[in-house]
Amino acid sequence: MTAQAGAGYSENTDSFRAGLQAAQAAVAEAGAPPHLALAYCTSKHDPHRLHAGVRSALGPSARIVGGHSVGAITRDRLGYEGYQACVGALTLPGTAIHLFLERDIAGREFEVGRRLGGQLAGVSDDGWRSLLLTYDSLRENTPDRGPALNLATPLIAGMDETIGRWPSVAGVGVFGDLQFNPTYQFFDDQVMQQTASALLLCGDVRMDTIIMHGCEPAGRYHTITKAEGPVILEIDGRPALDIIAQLLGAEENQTVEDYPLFVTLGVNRGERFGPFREEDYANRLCMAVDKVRRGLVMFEDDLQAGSEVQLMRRSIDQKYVGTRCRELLRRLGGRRPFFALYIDCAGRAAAYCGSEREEAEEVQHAIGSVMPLLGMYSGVEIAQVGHQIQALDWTGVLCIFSEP
Amino acid sequence: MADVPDTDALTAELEYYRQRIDRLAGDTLRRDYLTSELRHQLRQNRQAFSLLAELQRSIQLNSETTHVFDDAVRGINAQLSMDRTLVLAPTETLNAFRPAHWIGYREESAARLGAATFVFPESFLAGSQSLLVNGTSDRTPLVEQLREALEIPYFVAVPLRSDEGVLGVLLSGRLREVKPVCPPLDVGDVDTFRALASFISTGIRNKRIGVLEETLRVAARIQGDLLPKSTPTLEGYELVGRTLPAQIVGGDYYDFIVVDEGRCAICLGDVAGKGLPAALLMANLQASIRGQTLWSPSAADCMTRANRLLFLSTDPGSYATLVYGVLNTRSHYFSYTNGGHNAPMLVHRQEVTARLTTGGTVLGLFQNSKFEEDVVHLDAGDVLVLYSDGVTEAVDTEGREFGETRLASLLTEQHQDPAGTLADRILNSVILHGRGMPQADDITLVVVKRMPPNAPARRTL
Repeated sequence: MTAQAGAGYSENTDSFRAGLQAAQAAVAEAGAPPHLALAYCTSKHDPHRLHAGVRSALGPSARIVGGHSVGAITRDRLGYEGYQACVGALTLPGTAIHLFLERDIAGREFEVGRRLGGQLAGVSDDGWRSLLLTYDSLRENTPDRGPALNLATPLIAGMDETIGRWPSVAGVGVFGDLQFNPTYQFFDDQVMQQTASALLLCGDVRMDTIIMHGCEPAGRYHTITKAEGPVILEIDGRPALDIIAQLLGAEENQTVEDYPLFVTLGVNRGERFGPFREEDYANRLCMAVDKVRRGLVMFEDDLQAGSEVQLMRRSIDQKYVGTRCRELLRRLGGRRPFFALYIDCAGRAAAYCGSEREEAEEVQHAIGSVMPLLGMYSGVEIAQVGHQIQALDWTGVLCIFSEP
Repeated sequence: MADVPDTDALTAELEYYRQRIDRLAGDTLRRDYLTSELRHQLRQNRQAFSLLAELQRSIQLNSETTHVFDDAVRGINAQLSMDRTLVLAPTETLNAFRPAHWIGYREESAARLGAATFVFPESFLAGSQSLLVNGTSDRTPLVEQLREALEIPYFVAVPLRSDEGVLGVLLSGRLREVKPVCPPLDVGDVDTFRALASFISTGIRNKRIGVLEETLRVAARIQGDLLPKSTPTLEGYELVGRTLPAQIVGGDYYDFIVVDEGRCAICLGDVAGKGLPAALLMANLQASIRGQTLWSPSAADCMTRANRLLFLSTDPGSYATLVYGVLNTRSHYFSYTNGGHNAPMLVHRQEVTARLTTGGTVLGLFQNSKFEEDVVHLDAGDVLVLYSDGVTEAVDTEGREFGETRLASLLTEQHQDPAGTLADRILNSVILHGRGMPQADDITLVVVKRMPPNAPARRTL
């Protein structure tokens, strides 16, 4: 028996029906009772009711993982900001499915990572090992302090201490919208907040990944001279907000409130003055501003004093996305691909980045004709870059599941 | 000796290019931001148009306003990136409204919504004001009450107005203001919601008109089916009926029922009311009369029984006037009874010699009404005209009725015309009389003419 998969999509405003419709469509496309379902929905949905709808379509035995997303993608549907929901259903004979959960991630990312890595290290199954991480991106959003995030970088660092050898990995920091409303995660029959989970597949199924950025440097190098956690306080010895304001120039209608989800800083890990190579850059998006300390609050905390950064501009090359998709397909060799998962930074959506077309349409075009596609718009993406597992912003991570 | 580069000059040049690069980078990024903002707005505008199309479909498909409002709140929340949207419905208290349709609430919050009531100022409900609440708005007591009770910090509210008054209040908003994805609501959003409210209100009004028109068309079909499909051919007689409804559906009715070879029942009535109820009452009356005619050819008996049936089978207050008679084409007697209807005129030798007044009261009001019967004889050349009050009560631009006198004069002058010509002449005269005025009532008449001796046989339509 071979692996089978399907993906379903719904924009029904009734959360139960949305879950039911998306899951029914996924199961129908898979053509067999699923062992595993990946379910995502926007924050406009009641996650409990949506989960109940998904469960009612799947039956009691299928394992469920997923959570909130800013939008949903399948091979023929795509949407965000509304009532989108999507479900992927996978029938995986010959593959062991392990799910691990850690709670209370807020402020304890490293420790949660260590514990999660420890659980994964205890799995002794043979075969290919593929890991999908899911964690709550939003720690809190209070009226006085604004949004604060759970960070993937220490989560990964914690896992790195205990996991031993990393399997093929992809991960998603879940967001339900870009207003920083509370987020939820699904773990079997639990609907929770502030968790990190790991889905580990062991056996015949292999997950291959490829990343796609979409930024290029728009200026010269600057040096971060002071940072505290994810807050960049000073650049070139001056308050970060002042530097950004100077670089962007005075614009009557533009204020520091315009910087979040817009200002992107890139770190070039390649040749300093060599030709631009997208894969050499790690990009970090500004999430909020700290007006009191005149700092930029970034999505991750890996930009520290001494980091050289450049202001980046969004530049998604649609053709490049298609090329990268086909590159990943070629990498499979003779294996049979049966399911694709696309973890797409919400900022890459056309409405947010200002592109004319949706870059996810290129993925639909390149992948959707080959296999079922499930995608979600995320807050943070995790993937392997070079030899490192990295938290990424502004990135699309395409994962293809295949079997011999 | 080769020139040694001037370090100061190079430094200056480097600084110059740095500044230029920074400037160009800033310009590029600002344009990117502007492009992004414009595309976001464009997307929202596109979605607003999609929403209009959705609402149009909803209005076409749903006959109940409540379903349209449900679709509206769903569509607005989904397409316009709103977190919560409500339609508040009017209560019995003046200017007070209560949440009736909503989306974006968890069950525990939704349970509290229906209990909240808000009183809106007259100026808002009249449409001259909207409510725009963003991070910098003034907080009036009403705004604070709405924010707290509906749990929406930032919102737009507009009235849903129609010709009949205020249908409700449309209110939609967001939990947070986050640029650029959910920027503070502004006057542009107010314009969008005003347009939406107008679209919904107009759509509902047009839908109601459409439903009404469809109802009238159905009623007109019913009424059309009640009128005789053809006029019976009576030996030695011309028989013709004409009706001109004031609305799509009128309240007048006439019928010819062949009882046997030598007898034909003729009736003309006027049911109370207009539109579908009148058409149904008329159908009821016709069925009663037809049934009773075949059971008992006596005019008084038929009318008495029909009255009883009508009384028992209709709502109190439903009634009709009716003249009913049976013409014997051999004896040339017309035995009739008049249930509160305009008295038919008999023209004999160029004069109106008789008014057919014998009978009783209107049909349907009293269960045990009794009707008397009388007989008139039709000589050769005599003309009998049954008519509704729409003929005699048609008014001209100065308020003068067409009147019985004018009708009688017309009959005496034109009684020699064939029945069809005479009927059309009366109809045209009434229409001409009422020219410039809306037709207030149905105009219906039946003309029965006994042919003079040796007159060529004519079949009238």
